[in-house]
Amino acid sequence: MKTESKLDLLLHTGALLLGSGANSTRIERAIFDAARILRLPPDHVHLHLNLRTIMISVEDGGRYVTKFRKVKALGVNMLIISGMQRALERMVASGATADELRSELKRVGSLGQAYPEWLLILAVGLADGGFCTVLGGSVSAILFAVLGTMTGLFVRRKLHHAGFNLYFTVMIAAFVACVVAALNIPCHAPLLGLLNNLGLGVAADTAPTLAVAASVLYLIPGVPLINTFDDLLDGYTMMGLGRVTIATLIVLSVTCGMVVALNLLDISKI
Amino acid sequence: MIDLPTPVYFACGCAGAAGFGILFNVPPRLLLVCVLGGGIAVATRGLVALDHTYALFGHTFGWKGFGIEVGATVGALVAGVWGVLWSHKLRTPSSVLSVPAVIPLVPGVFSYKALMNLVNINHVNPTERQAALVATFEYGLKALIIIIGITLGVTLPRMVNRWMMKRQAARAAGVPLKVAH
Repeated sequence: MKTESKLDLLLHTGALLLGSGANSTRIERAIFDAARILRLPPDHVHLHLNLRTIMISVEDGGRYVTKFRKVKALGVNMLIISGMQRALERMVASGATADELRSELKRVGSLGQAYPEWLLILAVGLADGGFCTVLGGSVSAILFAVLGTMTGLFVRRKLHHAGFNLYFTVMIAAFVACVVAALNIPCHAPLLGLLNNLGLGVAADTAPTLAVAASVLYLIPGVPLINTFDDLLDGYTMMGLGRVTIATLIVLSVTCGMVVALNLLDISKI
Repeated sequence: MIDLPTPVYFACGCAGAAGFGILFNVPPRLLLVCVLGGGIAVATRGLVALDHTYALFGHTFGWKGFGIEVGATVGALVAGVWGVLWSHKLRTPSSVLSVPAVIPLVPGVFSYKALMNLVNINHVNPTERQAALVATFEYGLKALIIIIGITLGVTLPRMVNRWMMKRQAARAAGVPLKVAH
């Protein structure tokens, strides 16, 4: 097999992981595992990782072959990270061939969404309901936080699939979530009154804006933030700085969406 | 952070980890471990961060809460250990199990309170500017410390695990132990 084709397989391994939200150490280890499968000596493989590009140089009998690949979309897909690790571990142990590696990469790369869309939206809604509970929200605040999150996430995923800019998508999603969750402010008194009349004895809502605060928490970029410090601690300083820039911009977009919504609805304090 | 019974914290953590686990496409066979990890992390944070009194053998013990920063760090540490323990059994990277579990600990409210106040420095009337400036730094610093704590907490068990596996593999292969670069 030509070194150029081996290089393509290494780049494919790295690009799948980089686009799925793996940290730099994991990407590097996976690429060197793939190099072992391809019988490339580790000291002949040189790797340069960047936020969106992977560059690999392989020494091949006195000359160097270098290629790089750009990753189009950065997302989070644990199915690919987990599937890749298992496949590589198995192939390293069994001494697989390059063709097997190629077909495994194809299989892992085609792993799609494991859960139906409605379950995803419902689960994230309930997650924000949980956050609202921890923040001390009343029953109606929790309900409107869940509704706001679900609407916002629905809009976010629609815009994301339409290929809209990430930061504007987040901004619009935060705006929509805020507006829906802010319905708690006029609705909490009658709703809790109704529940009390039904004999449920729920506590009064002392902080109705908590629904708004909780409804945007699903947009907080947790994986980029954790990867940031993972990378900084492991010595991938530029990678970490790139990730923290993206995470900060996302949080800033969330704030922008919220500020617009809160000013339009004239809510002053959260 | 408000004082809630530990089972409520556990349930909220489970809900949070389930939501983010599904959003991050965690393989269905691993989702349950991930969800329980989130519950354990948030319940631990509540136990460490808040004040408690226990009655044991007729004595009353008081626990002085360490605050949300230490609480989140210890919660992430416990979730990290949980993830590492299961990762061997389930043959998967431990980060797949532990990262969605610690997302409920990420200080979302502090982060955007900081940025909201940053926006307000320019916006509110002059007498409130100073308060907005102070609040920006207060919440921002708090969020930063918590995020660093969570990351250290969740990374430490993974690092120790990797180091131990490397030593084990080297010993099994009969290779003298040395530092690899």
